Amino acid sequence: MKHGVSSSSFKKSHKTTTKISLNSLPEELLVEISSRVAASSFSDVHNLQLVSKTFQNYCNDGYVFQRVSFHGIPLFPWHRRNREKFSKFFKRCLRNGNPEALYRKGLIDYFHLDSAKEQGHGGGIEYLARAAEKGNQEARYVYGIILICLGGKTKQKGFKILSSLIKPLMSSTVKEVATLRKINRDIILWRGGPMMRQLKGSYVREKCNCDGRTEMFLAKSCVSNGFDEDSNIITSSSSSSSSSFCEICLWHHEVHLFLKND
Amino acid sequence: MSKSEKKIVLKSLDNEAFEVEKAVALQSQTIWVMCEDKCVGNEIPLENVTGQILAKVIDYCKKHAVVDGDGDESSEELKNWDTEFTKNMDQSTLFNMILAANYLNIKSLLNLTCQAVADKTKTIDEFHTFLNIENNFTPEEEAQICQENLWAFDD
Repeated sequence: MKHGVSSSSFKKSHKTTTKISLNSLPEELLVEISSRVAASSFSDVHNLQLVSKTFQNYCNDGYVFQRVSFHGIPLFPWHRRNREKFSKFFKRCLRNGNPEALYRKGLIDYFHLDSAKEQGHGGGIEYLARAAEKGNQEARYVYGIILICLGGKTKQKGFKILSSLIKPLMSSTVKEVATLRKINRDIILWRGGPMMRQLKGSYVREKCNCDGRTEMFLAKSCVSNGFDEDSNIITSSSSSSSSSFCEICLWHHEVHLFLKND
Repeated sequence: MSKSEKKIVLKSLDNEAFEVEKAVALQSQTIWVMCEDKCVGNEIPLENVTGQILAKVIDYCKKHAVVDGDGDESSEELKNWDTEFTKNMDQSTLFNMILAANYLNIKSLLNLTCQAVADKTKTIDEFHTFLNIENNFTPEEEAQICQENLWAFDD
């Protein structure tokens, strides 16, 4: 690098070790930092609130609520006296369009509500759609699978959403999808049985004319839980060698694993 | 394009001059606008950034610039480079980098440096020492906040 083309008359190395005061940063940047702390976990937000009154105020910014992570927070708090506080917090996150909150709300409304309340399901799927749109991976998975199961016009939309989860290699795709499946099923299965059966009832397999290698790979990976490097399939649609990869087979297999009751 | 047109000189607050490729400098939206408006010549004075910080900003921009097919670094490697870049920065450097990224309007650098501060401050003590702020809560107020957030920690 060409440093100091025209050398300065100033004294250069006045290296100071004094710390800069926080106040030197503009407020919007402090809110930006706060929201990034919030994005890692709620306990970090809790700490942030305890740092100083200024930071406590920042934590009340809508932007922080939009980004706060629900990682490690139980689906429902057990103690009655905490429920109210939690629900207040949760509603604020929802109002601010927090993707994780939208996903939780959608999943619970869709799978856990009484099937008599049809509105609950419709509302649930709306929340999931919004979370998926904001890039929440878990929401993309479950929303895509639901759309495929419901069939009709929305089916192609389901395939499109799910295709964003596909990794360049078949083996990594299978791993990724399995993780998302587990997270979703763990929340749903608690009370979601009836809704799962309903989805199973409406699902129709899409036809495909593939060479069957995708299905074979999936079947193998189910049994051995390991991957045969030689039979790995490249999933990127741009390369011509990927003719073996069949999205329809992949998601057909996935719908079954997702709806399996055990 | 002639050689002189491709280069640009950035001058820091303390009059240190840096000659860089235009493609490197134009990652700064602020500089980009200045060049678009033709309100400056080939030399751009940056009144809010010291030479020490500007040198680091230029390092970053060089790494992230896509110059004539020269920028085929894998994203993995770039990510590692970013991590190393901020890892050993002390508090004042990091803050000055944030201010510089904000002033120069380099979004990705601003994201990176803000994230670095967020990553370095996990516990309450780290906040107080790293961000150089005082705890101005009374014990009662502290207890109040802990009470409010209790729901997140029961199991």
